[in-house]
Amino acid sequence: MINAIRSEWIKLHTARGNVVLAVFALGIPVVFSALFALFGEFEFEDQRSIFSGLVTGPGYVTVFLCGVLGVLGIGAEYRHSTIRATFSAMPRRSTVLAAKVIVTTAFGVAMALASLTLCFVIAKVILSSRNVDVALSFTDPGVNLTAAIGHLVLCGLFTVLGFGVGAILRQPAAAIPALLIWTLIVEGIIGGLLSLLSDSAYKWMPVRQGLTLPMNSGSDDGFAFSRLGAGLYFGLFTTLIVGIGWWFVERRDA
Amino acid sequence: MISIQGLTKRFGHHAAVDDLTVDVHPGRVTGFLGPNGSGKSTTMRCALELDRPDAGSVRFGGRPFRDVPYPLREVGALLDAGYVHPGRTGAQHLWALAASNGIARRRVDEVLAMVGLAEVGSKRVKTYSLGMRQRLGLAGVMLGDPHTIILDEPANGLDPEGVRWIRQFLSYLAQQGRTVFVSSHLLSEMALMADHLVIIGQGRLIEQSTVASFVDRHADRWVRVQSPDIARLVVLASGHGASPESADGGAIHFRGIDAATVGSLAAAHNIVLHELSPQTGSLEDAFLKLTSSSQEYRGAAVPGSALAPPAGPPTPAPFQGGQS
Repeated sequence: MINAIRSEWIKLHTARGNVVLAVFALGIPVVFSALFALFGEFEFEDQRSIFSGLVTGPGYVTVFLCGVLGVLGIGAEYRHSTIRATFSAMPRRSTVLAAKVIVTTAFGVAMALASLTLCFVIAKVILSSRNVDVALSFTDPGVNLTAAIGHLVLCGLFTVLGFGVGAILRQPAAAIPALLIWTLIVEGIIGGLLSLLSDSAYKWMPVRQGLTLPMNSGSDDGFAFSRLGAGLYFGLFTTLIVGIGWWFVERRDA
Repeated sequence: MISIQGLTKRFGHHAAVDDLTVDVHPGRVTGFLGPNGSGKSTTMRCALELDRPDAGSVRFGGRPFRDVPYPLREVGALLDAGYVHPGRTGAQHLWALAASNGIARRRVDEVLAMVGLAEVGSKRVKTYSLGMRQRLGLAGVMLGDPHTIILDEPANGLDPEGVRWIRQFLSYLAQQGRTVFVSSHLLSEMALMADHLVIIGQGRLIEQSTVASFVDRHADRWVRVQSPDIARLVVLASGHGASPESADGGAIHFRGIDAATVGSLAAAHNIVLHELSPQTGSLEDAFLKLTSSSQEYRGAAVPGSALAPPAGPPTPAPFQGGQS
């Protein structure tokens, strides 16, 4: 397994697409964070909403890019037919898949952590230069730290979800739109239709639940699980998708 | 040794490989021949477990491929030179392969030098020609210094020097006692390279034998004769069951008679001979003759030619008599 992980790490950091993705995942949230910090009005805002607006909010870009990273982790291999060279060198496909999931997820979480930290530092510097009289802290009152951890968990799970979708569809050109369309449109439509039957229908939309993980207002209000519940529910959905993808990769011709 | 037992692979209702049983032995180059669509590449993909067979098995030294602990150290395979990410450098592609089997990175430099790509190893693969990609693929094959080598059309895209190099390289590997299993459409190259042949058609084994034995049994034979008194010799030879055909340079090709009989007839009737040579068809002729009924995909006849490629060798015009 160690050899497989080393091999996957070489593949990940030597593909230019992944490097570009990492630059975007770091750069775009930082730019948004800096702009909000520079031009935002914070007189009536509390610490939680400032943290949400300047740190975890812009980080949603990173979340979606983590999904794309996951898709490319397996989809790019099929697109370029390099999966055949990979399986010729490592015929036990489960070993390859496990190594890919570990490496891409670790990379996705590392990207998210770096992005979050940069957003936090830059926002803090800009706010203090503007003499905004609101402390920005991970520790006080503790909710922000939980939201940050939720953000990292979401990025990790979204990477795995992207990997699962990539393993099922095999072509990034199909898998990336499928991931984004499901997240941004399909769940909304399904939830909307089901809400005609039950007010709490949105509660059962798995990706929507996952997207609540970085929110620092989180409590069970009837429309969302608790943070832990949302994480478990989205994690279960992600496990299901990646399990289906895994099964397909094991069974299908490479 | 590669042992293929009852291998069957279907795509829908079409059997690409149909109950194929073949043993590929070490110490020789085994050529894998068959018309387009005969199942050669599918067989190789099944051997490497890239395609899932419907029945049968392939074993390397008695083990399925998945049970080989470090596959690149035991089985080196090149099925397609295009299985490389175009954005990576040649060296990066090999680093990833080497790492997967615990092979030291310095080995990458060695194999790049071995295939003549040492100077371009740091360039992106998208800048490589087809021949360079083929060499990169061969470098990947040799990364683990494997005992078994499987190559699908290894001469594709190589220049004449590259084709000669790979022929000599594979022969050298076989002489070292390795198992070399190679498919190719270049039958002239296969004739020079292979010691043993496995021939399939429509997924089924047609024949396996040595190259010499295969040509001996399936290639046409004739006697080429040049003589200033050819018309008289044609009459005499025809009386002994020979079928004369006009050939280039005023020569006659006699079929159905051996060179010794033609020579004896000429001597007995004081006929001067300028040429008397027994001829044997090529491996290509023998292959086309044997597989003509197994061709799934056949081109249209070339206008003005009797040849309907690639069903068989051109047939010379029958001898009309008189001219020499």
